[in-house]
Amino acid sequence: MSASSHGVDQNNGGYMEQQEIETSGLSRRHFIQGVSSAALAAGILSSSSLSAFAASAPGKKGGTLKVGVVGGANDLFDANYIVAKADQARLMSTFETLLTFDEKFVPVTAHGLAESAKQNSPTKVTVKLRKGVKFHDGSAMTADDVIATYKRLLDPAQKTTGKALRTFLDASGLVKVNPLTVEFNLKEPNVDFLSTLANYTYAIAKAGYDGKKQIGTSGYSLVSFTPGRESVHKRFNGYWDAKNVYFDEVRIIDFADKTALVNALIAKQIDVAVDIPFEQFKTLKSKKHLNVIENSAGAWLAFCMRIDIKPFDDNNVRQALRLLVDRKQMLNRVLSGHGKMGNDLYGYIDANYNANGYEQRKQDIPAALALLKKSGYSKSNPLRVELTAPDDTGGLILMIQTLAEQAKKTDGVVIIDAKVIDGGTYWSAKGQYMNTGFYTTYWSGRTYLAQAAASMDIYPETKFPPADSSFRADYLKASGTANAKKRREIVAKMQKEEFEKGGYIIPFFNNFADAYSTKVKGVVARPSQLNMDYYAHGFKNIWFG
Amino acid sequence: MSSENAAEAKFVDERPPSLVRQAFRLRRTQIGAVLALMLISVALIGPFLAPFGSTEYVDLPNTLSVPGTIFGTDYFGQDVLSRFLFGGRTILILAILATSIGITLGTTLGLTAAYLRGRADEAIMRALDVVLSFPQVLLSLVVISMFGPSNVLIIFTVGLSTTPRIARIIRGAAIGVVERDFISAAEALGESRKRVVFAEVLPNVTSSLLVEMNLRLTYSVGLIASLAFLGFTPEPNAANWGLMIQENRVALTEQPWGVILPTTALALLTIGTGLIGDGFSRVSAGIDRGGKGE
Amino acid sequence: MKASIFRFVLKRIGLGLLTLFIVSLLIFAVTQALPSDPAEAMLGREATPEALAALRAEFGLDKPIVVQYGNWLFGILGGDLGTSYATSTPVSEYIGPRVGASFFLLLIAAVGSIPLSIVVGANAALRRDRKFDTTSSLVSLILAAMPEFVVGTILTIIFSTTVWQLLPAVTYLEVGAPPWSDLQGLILPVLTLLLAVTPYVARVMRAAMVEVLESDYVEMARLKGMDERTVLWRHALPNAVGPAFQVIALNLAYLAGGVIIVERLFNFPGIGSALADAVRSRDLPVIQFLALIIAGVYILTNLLADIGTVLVTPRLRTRLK
Repeated sequence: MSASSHGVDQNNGGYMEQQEIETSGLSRRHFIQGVSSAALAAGILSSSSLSAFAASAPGKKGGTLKVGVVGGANDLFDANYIVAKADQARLMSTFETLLTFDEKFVPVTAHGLAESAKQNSPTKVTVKLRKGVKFHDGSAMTADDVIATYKRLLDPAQKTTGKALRTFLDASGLVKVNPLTVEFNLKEPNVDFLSTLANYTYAIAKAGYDGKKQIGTSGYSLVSFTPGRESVHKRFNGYWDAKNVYFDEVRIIDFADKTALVNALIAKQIDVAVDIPFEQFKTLKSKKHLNVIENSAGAWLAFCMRIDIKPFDDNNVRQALRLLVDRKQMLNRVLSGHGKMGNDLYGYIDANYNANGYEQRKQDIPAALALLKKSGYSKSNPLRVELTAPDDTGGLILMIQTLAEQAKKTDGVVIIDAKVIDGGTYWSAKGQYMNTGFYTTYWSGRTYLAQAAASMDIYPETKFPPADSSFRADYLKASGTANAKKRREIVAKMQKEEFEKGGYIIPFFNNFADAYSTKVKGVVARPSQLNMDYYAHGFKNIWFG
Repeated sequence: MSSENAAEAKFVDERPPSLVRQAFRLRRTQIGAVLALMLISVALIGPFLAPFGSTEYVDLPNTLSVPGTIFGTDYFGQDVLSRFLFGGRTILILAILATSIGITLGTTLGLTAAYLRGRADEAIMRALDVVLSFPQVLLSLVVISMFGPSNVLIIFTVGLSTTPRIARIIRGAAIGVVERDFISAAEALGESRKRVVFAEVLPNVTSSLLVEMNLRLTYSVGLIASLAFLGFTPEPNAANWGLMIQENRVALTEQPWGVILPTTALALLTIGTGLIGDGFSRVSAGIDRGGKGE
Repeated sequence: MKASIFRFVLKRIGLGLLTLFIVSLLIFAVTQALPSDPAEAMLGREATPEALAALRAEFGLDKPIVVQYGNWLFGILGGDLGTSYATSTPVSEYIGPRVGASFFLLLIAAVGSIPLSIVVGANAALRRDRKFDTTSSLVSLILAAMPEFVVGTILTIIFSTTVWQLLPAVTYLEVGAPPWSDLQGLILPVLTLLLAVTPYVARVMRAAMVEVLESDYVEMARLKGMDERTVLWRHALPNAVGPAFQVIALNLAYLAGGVIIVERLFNFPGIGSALADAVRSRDLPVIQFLALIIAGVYILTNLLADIGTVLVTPRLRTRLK
């Protein structure tokens, strides 16, 4: 990632504090589906008819955009909390953040509420707000609202995604300089705090927001929300970027079943289908009245091994299991090739991804067996482990089945019992997730340091690093290091430790895809963390044509 | 024993074998038997004929033309044909076990209720009503979410919820029979109640039983597939026709064989058992009339 | 005679209520035994022990089971159906419109399937062993063999997405709109339900009709010289209605089960789709209420069928004395 100048001073690449996309309930189950398609080119995106996207002149205003998404009774609506993709869509439709990410995952002011943002020092950031921004009820947005939002994020009693924020910021660090300027005084150095401000769940709500009345600053105001059914949004004429908002109304419609979602799109009952199953990829691409966009932004599924639970406390076992995986086959079986092979390192979108240049790990049964032999495992003393996945995330189920199958190649030295657990139990406080030695998880794309933080403190899935490691000290150092080259060195050191001793098996990074009616114009295909290019930043810059 | 009683006793002993023989003289029973046998053989022998393993990776998922396969790959990159050949066994065992439980329990309860009449009859049927009233799909869903999906649970759930339905129908059919004179005659002769129930009433309800059995067999498989559709499966990726249908449903427009093969197998099996049931009911209807009149 | 029938009806209604009560106990007992509790299901991964405890207290999950059951039962009797854990809205608000929608769907399917199956079954019995019988029998068997979601998927492929594009693929009802506001969108779900239920009912109807047509009673009528049509309408049909009642009732119940599948397939906002959702998210109030409703419907239809059978079958009427 190169430094860019969009009125934002920041240092190269690096730290990004984004919130992972959490899904639960029905939407978890449909998160990833494997399907057939030819292996994708290295290119990030694909679509079936580029002409639809050609820089067409902005069209007329009007119409109702119907967006289909998987959702159910668990739908929620909050400026600072999401669980499923349906929740993301609704958040983006109503609220906006100070900064956003461009296609290179650099924080910028485009579509954001900040006019400018400057990192004055590793512990101080100053943000100047746009003039004339109105909330949906007509009141003006000021520094008070920004500070109130960040206070809410910092408040442990509130159900928000702000846990990660508390490492670097306290409520006392929020200073109102004037009605349109806010100062963030960090308690820990973070040279990439601007990326934090671009976290899509750090969206600005009106001061006094209690999570119940959804009043935001976006181009559409909320008319009604019925969980499990749909939400209706009406064009807001007082929007600060009103000229780029075209539809009269947007409806986000829930579907319980992915096939129903796809069918509704084919039958022209909706205009956009978010997160289509890969099984239908080819079918949708072949329809003349539809376009398909695929996105690759570093989301990943993984096997977790807790380095403090037997037998995974033995590094020979961990590395042997990593060598067991035929990653190409797993990519094909689980995602039908819609993804990129992984090398047990996260942070795919980070400029410092795989800073040491490790070669792609391949299945190497003899090497695995050799490692296991060192620890005393053989056919007469096999390594028998249980591996679990929740039943509400399709990709994870396929992953454990594939690994169990691939383990058979050890001819009885490694036996994996793959078990599917019902989602409610698996993710619960005492469930398999994070409480057992060998299980699965999913993440959306983040930069390296952000992910390291999340995996250490928010969701300590592998309990890595061990006590005697310098990993955590390195992490703090890297977060405070402004010099890009020095930071890369530290990151490389951290990655080396994970590559050689870590607890994750990361077989691939998964893509996701959306399908649109050709009636929808202005859709741009570019890398983004969220579907529909961040839901078109609140359904802007797209129109019916 | 008088000569008339001897004749009647002989008649009772002879009835079951001649029923079967008579039924198989009909063309439809023969066709049904052939179909059923064909499919049962596929289910039993299939695994030995399969070109690939049931969970073996062959090629990219949902690809129609894959060298070495006839029908291509399924949702998980496995050979559709091989999965199909492996898939009959489990389903048959599951369905037969479940149906047997239902029929055994249901028939016993239904006949007992019909024969005992009065208060006992009421009590039994009301108790069964409670089970009957419990929504079958909900029962399965709740049991599954309590204990997790498992084959044993599916068998018991289907068996248990099938029981009252069968009991009701058996009782309905049996009540008419129980009131007939020849039962009273047998009682007058002093035969034990149990013997009377099983030896004389049973053959007369065979037709209803067979019709129900055939439907329940299909329904068990359908229930397994439907529960999978709602997201509750005991063994994901188990080679199992019902599961196959659901697993491959999403890719139906790209890889239809994954659904067509198991569905066709199910249909043929149902037709086969249906024809057999028809044949039996046809024949036993004649015997129901008896030669002695009302 | 009338008094004894009246007593019989009252007795049956009483028994029905008793059954409903026992069922409610069972439902409550079973759902309370679910392993992971709703507080966790609602708060998800981020739940702290304090938040969980607070939520449990809010929903009264920390009280003894008997007290919980009592509160629930009296609540329902008083019209308070509880609050859905998942949506935090009152169950009546969340479920109310869905009950109406599902009921409407079932009504149409029932109105279609009952006459259809009686006609098909009766005709097949009349013309037994001839072409109509064998074809309808075959088609019935094939349809009965296919799980509903397969039938539904195939219908969608044929009429909506792939072969022809005539009908909508899903039902879209705007929130607050009545279920008949998207009649076109109802065609495929209703058709699927019809094809799911009719085979069963038609076959049993046929079996009952055949038995009646071959009974001595009917034979006697023929011997007396009546023509086949009179035999059918005056003697055969009325006697076949009794058993048919029972079967129709059973199959209405089956329709209610099939609704769960069909609603999900066509995204129909009814209680079927709410139910699977609720079971997954351990939304106890919703599960309990829906189970109660569905059980109530079963009990009611069985009640009506029982009463109907007795009223219609002279033999059984005399037994009441």
